[in-house]
Formats: sequence, structure tokens, C-alpha cells
Amino acid sequence: MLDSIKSTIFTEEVIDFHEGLNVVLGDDKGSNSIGKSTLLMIIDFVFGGNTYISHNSDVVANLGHHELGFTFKFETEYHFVRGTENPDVVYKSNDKYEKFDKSEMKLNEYTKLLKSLYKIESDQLTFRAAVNTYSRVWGKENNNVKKPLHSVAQEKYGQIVTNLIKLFNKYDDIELQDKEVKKIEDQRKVLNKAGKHKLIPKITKAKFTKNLKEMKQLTNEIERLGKNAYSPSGDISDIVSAEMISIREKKKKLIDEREYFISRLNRTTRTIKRSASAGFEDLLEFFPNVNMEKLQSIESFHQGISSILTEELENAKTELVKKIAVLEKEIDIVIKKQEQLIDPDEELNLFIDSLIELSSNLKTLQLENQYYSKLSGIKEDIDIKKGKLEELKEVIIKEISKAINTKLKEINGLIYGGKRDAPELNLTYSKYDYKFFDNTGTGKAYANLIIFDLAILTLTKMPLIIHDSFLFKNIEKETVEQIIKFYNSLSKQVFIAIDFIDMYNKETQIIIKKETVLSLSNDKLLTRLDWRD
Amino acid sequence: MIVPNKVIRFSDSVIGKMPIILEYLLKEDMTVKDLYFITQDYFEEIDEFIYSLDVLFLLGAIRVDFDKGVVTYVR
Repeated sequence: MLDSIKSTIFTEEVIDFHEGLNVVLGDDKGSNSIGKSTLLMIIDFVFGGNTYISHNSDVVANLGHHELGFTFKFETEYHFVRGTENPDVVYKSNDKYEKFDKSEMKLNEYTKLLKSLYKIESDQLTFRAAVNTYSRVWGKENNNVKKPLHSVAQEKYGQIVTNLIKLFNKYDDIELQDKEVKKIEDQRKVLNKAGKHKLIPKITKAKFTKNLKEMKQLTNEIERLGKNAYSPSGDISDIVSAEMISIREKKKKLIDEREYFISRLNRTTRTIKRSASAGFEDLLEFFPNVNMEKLQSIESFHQGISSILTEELENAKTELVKKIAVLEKEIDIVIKKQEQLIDPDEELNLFIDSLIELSSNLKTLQLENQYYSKLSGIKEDIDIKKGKLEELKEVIIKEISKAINTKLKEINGLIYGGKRDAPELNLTYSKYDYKFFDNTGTGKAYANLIIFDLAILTLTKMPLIIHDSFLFKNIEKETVEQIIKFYNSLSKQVFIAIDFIDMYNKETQIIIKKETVLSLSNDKLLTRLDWRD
Repeated sequence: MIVPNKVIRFSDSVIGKMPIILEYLLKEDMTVKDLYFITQDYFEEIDEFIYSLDVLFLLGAIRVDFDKGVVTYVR
């Protein structure tokens, strides 16, 4: 709890606080600007608030920058210093508010520390989100009686309701499921984007169904090929052998033809020998009546025939060489084809090629369908998880609603003795509405605001409330008396500013006087300096 | 090679192969060139063919017109 605040600007240098109700008392004239709201704002400031700097700038303008030393008491005492000059920083200090070396904390570190000291459990809730709304000081703009959960007018409903759930420490389950939903939503986004950029295949339902059909065909085809790999009488071998036979026949025919032409070429290229010692005389043995006189002219006859043939043979030779060359080429082609077919690796290659093509087609289709299934799975998952989250939210909201409304009725009953209908909070996950029934008057509206804060204070770990005097001014005196009585029954700290206490009954006056931490009047201001004129 | 002996068989000798030429010439006159191409498969070497013509000339069985290059069978 807040134990004390000390500052050089105060008339009474130290202001001490205690458990339960703490009253800043004004005078019976209701004097203005004597420092009641300012002190409440300073209390808000030591609890990490910032409105003191913006709304109460006149204090700094007239008194200059100043520091506030303050002490919290839990099992032990904690001393801190926070100043107006650099309000984003809070220092740890000794009990004389001399700052420790290197004790500088960022404001959010300080409020984190307060959160742990006050044992506020919810991981998600910040200390300020817990207390800011219920610190209702003039100038903080959180006094809309119809919007008791708004800490500023522009705050979004969703955020406010979320904060309330956190304050009831029911947000962790939602957060957990919310994170899961976000995670799979991220997955879906990534998959969708990757599909858009063609990093992964993206297909429609129709293509998915078509793919299934094609995949079945491809699987069958691959299976058939697989069988062929083990049986030489498979289709591929059949095709190969038939082709081989016809090629072999063609090759044989071409080679025969080439051989014929080669042998003809060989004969034509033979040199024509001279007849010199042919031995024609031996003919007499077989033909005794050979005309030997002709033998003298045989040489010129021989030359004549030879020269006729030489020329013709040259031409024939050229033609034969050409013909043979053509045949050689044809044979080469056939041989190559045959080699391809005969080569067992080639057959295997052919087989593997088909297998690879079919498999890669299958793989592509499988991948397409896999991503499609994944994406539809994720979509389904998101729907289910979102549904569950909605259910959970509804259950939690209902619980909180019920607790608050029961408490509102209870406190309303205590304060009005059953004479007035209790206000009611209509809560959904994204919106809330604070309803009054029988009375639209200003006083009841402000009473309802106080009742609301008291309900939250008693239901949650929220550690304090601050209620400024303007809240009480319109409320009928019996109601204020009951409210003061209720405040006084609490052990959590309640800081209020109030004046005109003479109008209240004795009991109330006794309570107020007893719990007063600072009494202010026209003659006794909060600050040493008076700048009211 | 012209006549058969203990090494050369009759069918391998020039006089053994002459009837082949005569068979073609009996039907018609032929150019030396055509005659060679039509009968060349029967002769080991081209000079064998020329020797055959030489012998047929010696025997007066053929006549050659060297201007036209045509061989005629002499009856």
C-alpha cells in the first residue's frame, strides 16, 4: 500500500496514508483550488499516472520542477523518487529519498514492479491498465457515467473489454487460443502468398479432383513399367526386338550391296598388264592351225583393247566409289541405330526416362494436391479454433458479467437498502453498456459510477480507487453516507476528496475525520505557494 | 594362264573362259567396254579378259573395230 508522499512543495512536507479509506478533506465552504484534486492527481502520479504533468501544469509553472518521494509498504518498505522534470524515470531511494546509485528505472519498469508488489497475476495486464480507469480525478476525462470502463473517451471497446477480462485474470486462456489461431492464420497467409508468387502450386477444388484421377492413371502406368523392369518379355523389349530384326535385315542387305560394288571396284582398279610374255606360242598345242603371222600384230591389238578399257574403267571406278560411299553412309546409320537398340543401357535408359517422366508428373500432381489439402486443412482448423475461441470468450464474458452484476446488486442493496434498482453491465466481447433503470438523475448516475468501481475493486486484484469530490456533490446525502461506510469497510486503499462534511450524519463525519490524511482549506493549501489570483 | 597345265585348271585358263565371251558375241556385236562389264565376274583379273580377246583374235574368231570400239564374232 501507499504509505507516504513527501515533497518540498507541500505545506505539510510529508503526507501519510493508511490502509482502507484515505480522505483529503476540504472545508465547509467548498473552497476551490485549495489542492484536493491536485493531491489526488499526485497520488495517481506516484502510482505511475501521467495526467499530473499535463493537467496540473500550473503547479510546475508556479512552483517549478519538483520531486516527489514516496514510500510503499508491503512486507518491507520501498522508497522511490519521481520528478516532474523527467517523469519517464523513477528512482529507487533510501527512506530519506536520496536516490540510490544506478537506481534509475523507466516508468514501465516501475509500474511492472508495482504490479508484482501488488500481486496482480494476469501476465497480459499492465499496472496502469488495471488502475487508470478507477482513478477518477477531475481532469482525467474518465467520468462518463455511462462508460465506466473507459479511461479516456476515445478508447476502443474491444481493448477495454479485453482489459477487463485481464483484470479478472481470465485472459490467459483466451490469449493461448488466440495465439494458436494467429499462428495458423499466419500459416495460411504464408501459403496463400507463396501460391500467389508461384513458389508453391495453388489449385482449385476442381483441379484437385482432376489431379486425383490423373494420379491414379499415372500410378497404374508406373506399376506396369515396374513389372516390365523385371520381365524381359515386357512391352518395351517387344518393341525393341521387332525394330532390331528389321534393322538387322536392312543392314545385311546394304552390306551385301556394298560388297558387290567393292568387288566390282577392285576389279576395275586392277592395272592392265602388258602382254609381253603371255606365252601365246603354247596355243599351238591346242590350236595347230593358229595363224602365227597374226602374232606379230597381237601387240598392237592388245594395246588397242587396253586403251579402250582404261578410259571406261576410270569412269566406272568414279561411279562405283560414289555408290559405295552412299552405301557406307546408310550402313553407318543403320549400325548406329542398331547399337542404340542392342545396348542394354539404352533400353534401360528408355525405361528410366519414361519412369522419370511419369514419376515427375505424379510428383507435381501430388505436390499440388498436398498443398491444396494443407490449405483446406488449415482453413478448417482456423474455423474450428476460431469457433472454440468464440465459445471460450462467451463463457468467460458470461462469468465476468454475472460476477459483476451480482456484485453491483449487492453493493447497490447495501447503499440503497433495496430502494433503488441496481445498475447492470451488459458485456459482450467487443462492446459494453452500463444501464440504469429507474433513475436518470445526475446523483444516481454518479452513485452508479462509484458502485461500479467498488464492485470491480472487491471482485479483482485491482489495488486502489481514487474518487474526487465532484463525484459526491450531486449524490443525495444518505447515499454518500452509505458509500463512505462502504469505503470504510475495505482494506484496499481508497483515496477520496470530499468537502461539506457537516451535512452528513455523525457516524459519517467520525469516519471521515478519522480517515483524513490531509485537511485543506482557504487558509491551508496543499502547496506552499498560492497562485489562485 | 593362257593354256591349262598341271597348275592351272582348264576352267581357270584363258582358253577355258573364251566360250563365255563367245556366248555373248554369238548373240550380238558388243563394245569392248560392255563386253567387259557383262563378263567381268568370270575373270580373276582384267588382263585375263584382254588375253581372252587376244587369243580369240589370234584364232580369227573375232574382229575389233578400233574406231567404234566394237567387237564382232567372225563366223
